[in-house]
Amino acid sequence: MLRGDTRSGSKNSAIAAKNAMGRLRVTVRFSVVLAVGLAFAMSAAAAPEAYQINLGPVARSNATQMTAVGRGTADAALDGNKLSINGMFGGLASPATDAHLCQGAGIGVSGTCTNGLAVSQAPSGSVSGTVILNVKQIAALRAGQLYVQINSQKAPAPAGNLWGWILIAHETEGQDVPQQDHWFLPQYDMPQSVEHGSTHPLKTKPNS
Amino acid sequence: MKLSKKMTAIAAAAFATIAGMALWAPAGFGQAAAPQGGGAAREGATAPALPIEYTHLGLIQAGSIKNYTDVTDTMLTNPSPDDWLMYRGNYSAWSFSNLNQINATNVNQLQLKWTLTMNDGGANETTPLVHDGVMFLFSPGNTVQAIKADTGELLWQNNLGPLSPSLNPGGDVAERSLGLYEDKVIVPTMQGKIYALDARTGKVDWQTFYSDPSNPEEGQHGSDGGVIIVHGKIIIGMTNCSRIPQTSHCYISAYDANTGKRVWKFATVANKGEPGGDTWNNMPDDHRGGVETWIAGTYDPELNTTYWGTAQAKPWRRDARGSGAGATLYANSTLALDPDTGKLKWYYSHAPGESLDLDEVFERILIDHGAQKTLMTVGKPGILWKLDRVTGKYLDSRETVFQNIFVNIDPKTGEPTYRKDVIDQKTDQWLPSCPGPEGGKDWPPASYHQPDDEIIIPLSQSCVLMASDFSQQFYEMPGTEGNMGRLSAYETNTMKPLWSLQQRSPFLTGVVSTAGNVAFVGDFDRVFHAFDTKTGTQLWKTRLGTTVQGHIASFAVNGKQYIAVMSGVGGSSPEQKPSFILAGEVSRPMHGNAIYVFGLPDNNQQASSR
Repeated sequence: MLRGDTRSGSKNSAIAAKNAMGRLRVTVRFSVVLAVGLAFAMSAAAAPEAYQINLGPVARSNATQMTAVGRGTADAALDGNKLSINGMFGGLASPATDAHLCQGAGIGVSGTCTNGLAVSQAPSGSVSGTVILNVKQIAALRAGQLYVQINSQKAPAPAGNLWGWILIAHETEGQDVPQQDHWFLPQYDMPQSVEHGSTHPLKTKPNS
Repeated sequence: MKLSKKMTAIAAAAFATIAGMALWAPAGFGQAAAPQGGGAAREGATAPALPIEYTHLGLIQAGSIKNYTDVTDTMLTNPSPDDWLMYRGNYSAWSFSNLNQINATNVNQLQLKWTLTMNDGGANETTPLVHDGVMFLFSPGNTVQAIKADTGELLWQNNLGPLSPSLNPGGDVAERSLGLYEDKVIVPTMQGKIYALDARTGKVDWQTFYSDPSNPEEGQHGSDGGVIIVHGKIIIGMTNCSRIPQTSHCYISAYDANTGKRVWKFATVANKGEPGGDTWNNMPDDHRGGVETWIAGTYDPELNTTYWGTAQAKPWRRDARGSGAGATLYANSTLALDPDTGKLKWYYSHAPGESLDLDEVFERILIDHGAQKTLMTVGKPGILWKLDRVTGKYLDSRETVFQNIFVNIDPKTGEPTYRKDVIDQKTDQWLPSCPGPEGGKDWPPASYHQPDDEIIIPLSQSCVLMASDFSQQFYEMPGTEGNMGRLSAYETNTMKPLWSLQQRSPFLTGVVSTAGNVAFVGDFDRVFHAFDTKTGTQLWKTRLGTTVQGHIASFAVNGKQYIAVMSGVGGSSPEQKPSFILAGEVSRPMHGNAIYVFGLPDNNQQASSR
């Protein structure tokens, strides 16, 4: 899904998400992130925080290698304590059945799924929802601990079908394109990681 | 003509495999080829004969290379840019060529000069070595060939054996590099032996066990990580040390290149009562497994020190191992040894008590910045470490890919702190790990592009859920949008990141950069790339027969520069994880171990630079 023309896609992750499966190669620049981050810092306290989600197959074994497939993207925004999620997915081997907001111990660390999200009961479609977060959940969101999981008929819970961590909106050049400086995803709560990932968006401390 | 025959032979062998036929040879077949290396022709029923390349051991093609000059210590210390004398090109593991005939402006004119299929039936991750215009090449089944490096003409071939039991792909029986010393080709094997072949004729000069299976003190270990030869001593590491109980721990050992006699041995596991022996939570000695040295070390002639990385302790997870929070010395460490005695000068533990199959065993690249002598390495967690190689003191580190294993790295000592659930792991708990056992960084070595003080690192991006019994499930690394491959460049003095790029398929060769400001690297999806070392811009690419896997060499014959690269299948995590994650998306032939040699068109050659 990610191969082929990677340079012609939009450089805006939100647009890419709306165009879903055919244009999943989000190619945008970290420099824009910095600008956005600075804008955050200078803007009104109530400005929503922007997040993005790249949905890919969950951890798979031989038994689930060909059933837990597909891909998707979503945008998320935190406005006060209200988290809104809107995205698309496709390529599932069976119809989606349910979707959830989940929490683990960090980026890439799976955990427990709680709040339900609306999802198309089909191999492709949309996933969306609004969840009121408590203070701990807001902190977890900012630490990269929240993720979205979609389950399907052939890849049901608890393992599920697709997942994607809710990451602070960031931009990369995409496939095959050299990019200057650091641009791997830093671990949000590790000081050295923030330092090593010099474009870490949390440097700008988005408003809560 | 000889190549044509060999191609036909391999096609026949491949057909036999496809047809599900067993390998056999009629009685008396192959009398003209006297077996060498202790083997013999396979016995079998009467049936059409397979070519002797697939049935017979020994020197199946004799030859005599004239005008071959001995490889001296001086040559090994200062290799001619026309040669590629050792694993990663020089003692410092720079994987860098001073040739500049092929450069950033003309690399797009590269054309295939010759190719040669190699034995299937095992993983191909090897390094072609070149001296005096002769290439020495290792294939699965412990086949060694001498080849005219500019034309591909086969000069001699010795099938040391044992022959591969099947031509099917896979397995992790690789041998990443031969060695050259004086008039000998040094051949380490996974069966516990080292052979010394006459470089001119291919005949066996001597052979010895570095791990004798009949000796309970040594067990049955193997070595797939090549050798380094210092002062006439062949220094070899070891793998396959995970069996528990284990009466024989992994060790690094050295052998006289003229006789094969063992000179010294250094055990990489500290037992009770030994220095570091108290770092295993009082575990019984025979339960202290792992600590393999499956990548050959490097060497600093001025300091007369050889540097080796070690793998993690086994079993892999702490809870299964029983080592608690102990550092399990000398696991996941850098070892600095005296090459003449094997005495430990210093060690540095990069990941004390590692628990997720994340080796820190890979190449130690030796780089000087003025008077400061440093050592740089990247392990599976993807941390680029910089040490003072005189003292072993930690100097600096950088994360090169996303990782969620460590929550802190001490800025003064470099000691990492593991994520809490890794420390508190329970037997019934699946532990997530980014990167997973694919690495971060794995065996494909980085290149030090000396003109720009730039290290170019082939990286991978995938994660794992690992159970206590080592069961694994794989998933994409967050923040990568599914891109498993990553190539990143850093200035080594400042550790400043210079450029990176990522792609869906991981890179599966080491990187070789040249004075022509070109970095060569191959990938899982059969693409052989040339990138601009200054910008990361792709300058050229071509598609090979199957996965581009193994090591690259740059050399010159009669003033013409060539780039050799391997294709291959088989191997361990770096090959298996993308095979799983990219299944149904990236398809490649499951045969096709081969070497490809590229050069500029004949009308576009200039004198090579030195």
